[in-house]
Amino acid sequence: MNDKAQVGIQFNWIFVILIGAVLLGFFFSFIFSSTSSNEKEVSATIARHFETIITSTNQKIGTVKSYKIPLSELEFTCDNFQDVYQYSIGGVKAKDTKYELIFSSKKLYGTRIYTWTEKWNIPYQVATFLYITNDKEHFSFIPLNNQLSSFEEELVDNFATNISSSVANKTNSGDYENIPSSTMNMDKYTYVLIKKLSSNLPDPSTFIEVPKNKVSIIVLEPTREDLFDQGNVYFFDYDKYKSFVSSTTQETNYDSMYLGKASLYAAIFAGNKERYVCGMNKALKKLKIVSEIQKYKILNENQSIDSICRSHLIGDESINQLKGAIYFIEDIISQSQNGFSETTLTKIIADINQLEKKNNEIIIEYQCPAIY
Amino acid sequence: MTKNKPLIRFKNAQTEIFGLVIIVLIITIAMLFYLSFKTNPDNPTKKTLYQEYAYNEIATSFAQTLLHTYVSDCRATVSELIIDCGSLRGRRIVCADGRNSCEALNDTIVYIKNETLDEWNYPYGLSLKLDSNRKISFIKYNCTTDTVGRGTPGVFPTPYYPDPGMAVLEIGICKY
Amino acid sequence: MSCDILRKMIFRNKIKKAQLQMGETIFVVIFIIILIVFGIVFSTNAEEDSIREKQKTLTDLNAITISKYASSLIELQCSTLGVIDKSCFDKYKLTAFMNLSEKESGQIAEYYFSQFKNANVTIKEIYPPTNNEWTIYYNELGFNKTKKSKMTNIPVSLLDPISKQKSFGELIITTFS
Repeated sequence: MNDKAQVGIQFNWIFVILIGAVLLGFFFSFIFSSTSSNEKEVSATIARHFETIITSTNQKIGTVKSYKIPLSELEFTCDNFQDVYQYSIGGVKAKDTKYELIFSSKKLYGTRIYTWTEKWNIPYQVATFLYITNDKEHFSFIPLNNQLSSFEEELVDNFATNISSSVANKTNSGDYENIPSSTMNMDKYTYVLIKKLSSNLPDPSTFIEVPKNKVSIIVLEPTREDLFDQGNVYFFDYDKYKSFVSSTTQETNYDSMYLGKASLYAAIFAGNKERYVCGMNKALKKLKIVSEIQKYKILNENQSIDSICRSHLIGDESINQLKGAIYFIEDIISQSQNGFSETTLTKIIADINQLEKKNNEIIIEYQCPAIY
Repeated sequence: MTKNKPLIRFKNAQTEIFGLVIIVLIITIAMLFYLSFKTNPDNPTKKTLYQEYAYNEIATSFAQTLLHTYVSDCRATVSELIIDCGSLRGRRIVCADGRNSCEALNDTIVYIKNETLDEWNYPYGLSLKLDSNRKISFIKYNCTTDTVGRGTPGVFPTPYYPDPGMAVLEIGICKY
Repeated sequence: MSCDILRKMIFRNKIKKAQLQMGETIFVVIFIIILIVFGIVFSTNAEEDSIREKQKTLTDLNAITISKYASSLIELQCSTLGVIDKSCFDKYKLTAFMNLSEKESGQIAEYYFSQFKNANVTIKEIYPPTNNEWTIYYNELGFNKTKKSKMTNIPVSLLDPISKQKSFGELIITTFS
């Protein structure tokens, strides 16, 4: 009987342990699945709110907005070859951005993001460019001389406030002060210089005191009197810049071009040629749509305007082969389908110049409805 | 002694069961409390996110759009009609159908309000104060300046410059 | 013989005790399971409430996002020398947009779907009463209009760029969820 009692007690304990294990297992699995679904929920919530941020920020041009988000990694992908355009949060794809004009570094990791917008007018307003950065990226403007040139001053004055940035001072010895140091502990440092024909670009060791792998150097070369009109852009990493500067002629083919203020700052925020060109290709698609609307608008107005205005808007071969505004708009439409390249941009620039001239002419001289 | 043993055992069992029942009761009461807090009805004066946005947007846009609207019969915008109707200068605008600026102004506002605010069925308060004595106002569903939950009104002054004074167009949307 | 009977009685008592104990244990286990099930049911209901609340917020957010986007379409807004006049749509651009949509419906639909998704966007001229209406986006396939839709009406100016006169219009955005 004692044996039976002992066996009974042992069975009791086994039974209790089994039930306890089952219950514990149940609760732990519940907790784990709840944790992982919570994480996904947080990512999804951030993604949804981020989408709202992107859409609503697009409406306020020129403003810098700051947003606090839970610690997450934002990754922006813009790849023309693979036709992939998206951003992801915490490794989970959040949204396709095939038509959103977002210029940013590839990855942003942190708890605070900044957004800035600029309108792209060429010459009519085509789109709003959205620049995204965070508090772990720093922008440093490096002047070529002791004093800022007019271009450098304009570049700095028009840059977004509140975003981490600084302007270096060049000393008489050729070194630089007020340059970022590694104590700032940033994830990325972008250095911006403006190249002029007459002066040489400085050696990177004079203004870079941070790890090379975190460095991105953008060199701008304006080709018109106005800095923001148009120009060439060079994208360098540390080593490529060093070899460029070390070469005797400092000549190389520029990587790309910019057209308009928005496009210039897009190059700075994109940080490399691939992301910049990808974004600009998207911008050209928008340019095509807006130009087509302009074209149909002119055709519709055609019926309600007098013959002089009509001839300037539509064209009149009988008046010295007068090309109307619509001719240049159609050319812009055609060029914007060719992808972002030097040839495309050169032709678009020529059309824009003609359109600007024509618009001023028809408003001032002929009192016709404006083209834009 | 042996007679008492079963009694004690019985009492032990009863105490155990009693304890279990109490635990169950406590858990049940706790659940009930939790449920009663969770299923509290919504605060009726709390606007949703959407309502906040929509009401602000409507209030601001309505007034701005109204002021810029062109009344072709009178060859003037609503803003110009307000100035003509309200200023000391007197009424100089005469519309093609013989109406003066005040009549045309009233007719236009009434038409637009009927086709928009009344159609959308929002409780609103719309008023145009021309001077201390003259005011055109429309109220729907008792949405006055005293109504609880009335959104901040859009206030749009139109000065009579160079004459003194100004007209004030005001619109507020109330909670649903 | 009395010993036998006594032995049998004790044995029967023991069996009854054992049965009682087993019964008690089983009852306790069942009871705990019932409590756990109740707890799960209640917490699921509470979760459901919270999810419904979140869904409502997201639907609102979606409607607001689409409304803000529609009311700020650069390509349709009034502009003078590149300067945009907000809350104003150019009538000729609206007509041009509809011409373009007819001609290149696929491209336009694809381009604007990423922003508008499932929504209808229409602009109506209210005053002067002309019955002019422009539907710039239309995608309500598969949605029951009467059930889960949210309509936003935003007053907008409609500019005739030739006469430079503005009329009173209404931007109607219906979002489906």
